[in-house]
Amino acid sequence: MRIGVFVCHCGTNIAGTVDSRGIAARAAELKDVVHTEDLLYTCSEPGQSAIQKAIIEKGLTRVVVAACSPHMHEVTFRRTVEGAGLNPFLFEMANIREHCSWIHDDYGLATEKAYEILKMSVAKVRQLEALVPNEVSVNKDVLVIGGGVAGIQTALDLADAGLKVTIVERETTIGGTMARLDKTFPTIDCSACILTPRMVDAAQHENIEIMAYCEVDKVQGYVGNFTVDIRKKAAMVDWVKCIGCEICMQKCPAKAPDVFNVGLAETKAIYIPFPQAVPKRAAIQVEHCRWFQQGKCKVCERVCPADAIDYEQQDEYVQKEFGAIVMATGLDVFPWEQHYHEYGSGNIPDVISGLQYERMLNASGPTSGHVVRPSTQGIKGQEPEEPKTVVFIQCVGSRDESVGRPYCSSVCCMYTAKQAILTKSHAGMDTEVYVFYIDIRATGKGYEEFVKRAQTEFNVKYVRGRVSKLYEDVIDGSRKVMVRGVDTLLGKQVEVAADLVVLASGITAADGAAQLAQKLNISYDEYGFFKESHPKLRPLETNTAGVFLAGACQSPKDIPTAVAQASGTAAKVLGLLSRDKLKTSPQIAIVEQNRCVSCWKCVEVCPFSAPQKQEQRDGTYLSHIIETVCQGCGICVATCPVNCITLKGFTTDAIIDQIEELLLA
Amino acid sequence: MRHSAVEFDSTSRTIMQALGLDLEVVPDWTCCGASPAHMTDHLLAQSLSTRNLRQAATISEELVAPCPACYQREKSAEIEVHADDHLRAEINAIMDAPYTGTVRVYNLPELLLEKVGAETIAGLVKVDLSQLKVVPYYGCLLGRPSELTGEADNEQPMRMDVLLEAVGADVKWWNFKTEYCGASVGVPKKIIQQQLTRKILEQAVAAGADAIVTACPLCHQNLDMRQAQTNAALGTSFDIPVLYLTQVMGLALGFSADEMMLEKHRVDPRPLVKSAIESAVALKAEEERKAAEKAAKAKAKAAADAEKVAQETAPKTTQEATQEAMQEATQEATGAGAGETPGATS
Repeated sequence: MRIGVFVCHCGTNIAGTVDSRGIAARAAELKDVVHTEDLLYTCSEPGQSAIQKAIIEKGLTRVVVAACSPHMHEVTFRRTVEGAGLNPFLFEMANIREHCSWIHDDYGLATEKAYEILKMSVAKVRQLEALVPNEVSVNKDVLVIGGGVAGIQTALDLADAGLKVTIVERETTIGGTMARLDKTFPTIDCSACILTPRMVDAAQHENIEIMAYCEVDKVQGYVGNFTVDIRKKAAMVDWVKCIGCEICMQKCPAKAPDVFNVGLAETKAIYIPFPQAVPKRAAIQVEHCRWFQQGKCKVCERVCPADAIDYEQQDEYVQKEFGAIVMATGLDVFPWEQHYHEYGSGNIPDVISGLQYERMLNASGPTSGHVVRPSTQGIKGQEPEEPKTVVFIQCVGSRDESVGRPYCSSVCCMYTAKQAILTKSHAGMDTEVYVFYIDIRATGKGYEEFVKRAQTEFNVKYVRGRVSKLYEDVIDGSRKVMVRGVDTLLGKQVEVAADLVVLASGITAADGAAQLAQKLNISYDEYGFFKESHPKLRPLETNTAGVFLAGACQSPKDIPTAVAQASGTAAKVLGLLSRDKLKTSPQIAIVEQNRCVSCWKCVEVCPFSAPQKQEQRDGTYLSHIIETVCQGCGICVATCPVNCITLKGFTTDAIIDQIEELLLA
Repeated sequence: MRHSAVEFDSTSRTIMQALGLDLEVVPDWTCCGASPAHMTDHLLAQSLSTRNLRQAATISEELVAPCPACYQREKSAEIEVHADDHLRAEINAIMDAPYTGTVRVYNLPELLLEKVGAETIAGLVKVDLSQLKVVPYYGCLLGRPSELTGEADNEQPMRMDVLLEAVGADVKWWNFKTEYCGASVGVPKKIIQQQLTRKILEQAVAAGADAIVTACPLCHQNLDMRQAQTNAALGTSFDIPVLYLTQVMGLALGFSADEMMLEKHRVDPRPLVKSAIESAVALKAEEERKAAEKAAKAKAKAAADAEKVAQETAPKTTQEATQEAMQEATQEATGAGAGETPGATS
């Protein structure tokens, strides 16, 4: 056995606290080590060449690189040694950067620790064996979870490239948040005008199947071969027969809160969320339906010209196979009523959220695009009042640790500027518009200019400061919302008597995102946003191979960013599925069947269902791990009571040798 | 409390006793040093409060401080001293005898909710207060900061709301529960205090309340005693009674206006309380009368219907009976239907 040891300086990242040259020299004393070298940047071209040169010239049979985390460059160096003819699994990485130099400041002690880490890696590398990857065939169909603008974009890109795509959407229509927006910044073009054609494109594309009103129930398998159970929720309407004529909705006598219009209006128990819905199909909200709640009515059944109503409909489950999954579950608006009691907890009618205002501005919204004070709506013999003073409050549920949301929602500065401009154009230029802000974050293309336009051309008054309280009061006989805040530039308290207050409510992960992440075995942060594999270098992939991210499910995003990311994700999926076979990691667990006692603990603990009960010739059963399913996590190895499972590349013998090297040598 | 808020003191004792809470005054207690001490020296403030905890520990594991300022100081000491052994040692070095206990400090609403419970209290209600429209006013110290008081939210504390609802009062929502009343600037800058007080009184009226309920002697003094001053200075004409939480609860539990010392307030709450209770009684009587009337009508209608039915069906019954009788007779005649003959039907 001929081991080569290479110690990295990583500029001063490592060499600043660790004597890289010194430990390289000391490593020469270790058993089987025939070559040592310290390199300024091991991952650079000269660094990698040096390793390859040494392998060839010194006939190395094992290689240890002491540098950064294997998460960073293990794959890089496996390729390096493979390029010089060595099996890539006869390589071991010692992490002396993240685990040592970055976290210590005592040069002597850090150097000593780095040497110990290196010694352990040398002990391990002696135990390694050559491993050869397996190959599995790849299913080329793609599942996109979520049919908002990001999901639609990914689906269209993939479908145009010839792949079959299934969009699973939990609402009755695709479109997501963007379908509820009125205009988009910074161009003030109509949101529906640019989105609905894309929705129709998706519906009509020969390679796209839209499964609306469905949810992902269970995900099994692995990259290239996922098996997904999808629940088709009972709409109580036969969607094959339904023609979307809306007659049921017109005749239904039971009112229900209109979720699409964020509670600003009422819809019916049987409903189609908006006129451009895709698919345009009706569904019954059972909790509001007279037939389901009181046992009489059935008006929809009588009026339906297509005979589509089916009160007996049950949820159905279908199972489908996919090679890759794209998460595009989007966002929800921060539930400010539960957290901002100083803003009235939702009890002041003229205080609304940004999304509600979006619906109010929309021509097909509940007020047909008229800006009105909700407190003056629905009073007999009285026209709703148009506000003369409108106040916008930014960062409601963003950048506020007191409500557990320290992050910036990234879109509110811009949508507030847009709404402020639209207020002037809808309610008249003489409308007083104030925006309370912390900072203005306008970093996109044309964004800063747009905010400037709001301030100069439209005379929107920007006040830098937080609002501490909203309350109703009567001023000169008319009902006002008092906005009490601070102008930090003037250093003064300010109070504005407003007719309407719009809260720039921030963005949260979609309801249920965390539970879905658990089904797919992907990581998510404390707010429910899905985690990317690497924030800079792998922003579109998750840590689970074959599962990708698109849009605001990863972090708050505006439309251009979500669409750009969605197309990027499509490219990643195409890259993966352009291959007919995938190499699987050979670092997997195997069972020594002659020692297996059939306790099935491995079967119970495996998150991937890799161990199976395999029937033997004598009719008994022993554990057997399916190579292509095993992800090499090692849980079964640690669980097996008779130690009959081994993880290739991470053997128990190697671990014991490492410990002995540390404690005894 | 024994002097400037004697009605709060007395009614607190009365209702706690009525709710089965065994109350004893901390032996040899001292001032907690509120404001002057904790604004001057942290160690001094925590020592003064810890001394009271030590004194309390000689008789109980639980301490209730009805005054929110006292509560804040004692609770702050409890949290810090129990979590920080170093601070405890430092304080013990100052005091004549060490505090080694684990006394838990409660504010009054918290104690009532945790030790008696809203449901139990609701079960003890004797007087209907459903016509008494109130807003709870927590002031600065009873609910905030929530990390200390255990309220779910700084801006919307709920414990008084829950208790008032439990005793059946009509609790109105408002956004001024924790608004500063200006009590502490009343002396140096009276006009500011008056403007702040006006805002609270205005909002209470706008919320539809006929009375404000508080559990803080200082808030009470400001909103009640200084209401006339505020009216005089600002040209307003507020006349809204300010009751202590314990007084409202006591009234619901059946204590009289005298027992609840309602005469102690500057804005006399007795006419309001009297009319609220009387209108609740009248409303109930009216409801009962209507219900009785409805029942009587229903009964009369049922009787009329029954008579009608009886008249309509009576001939038929006779006919049927005749038929039956004839059948039986036939059976008997043929010897097939031996045995008891049904009683005569008519």
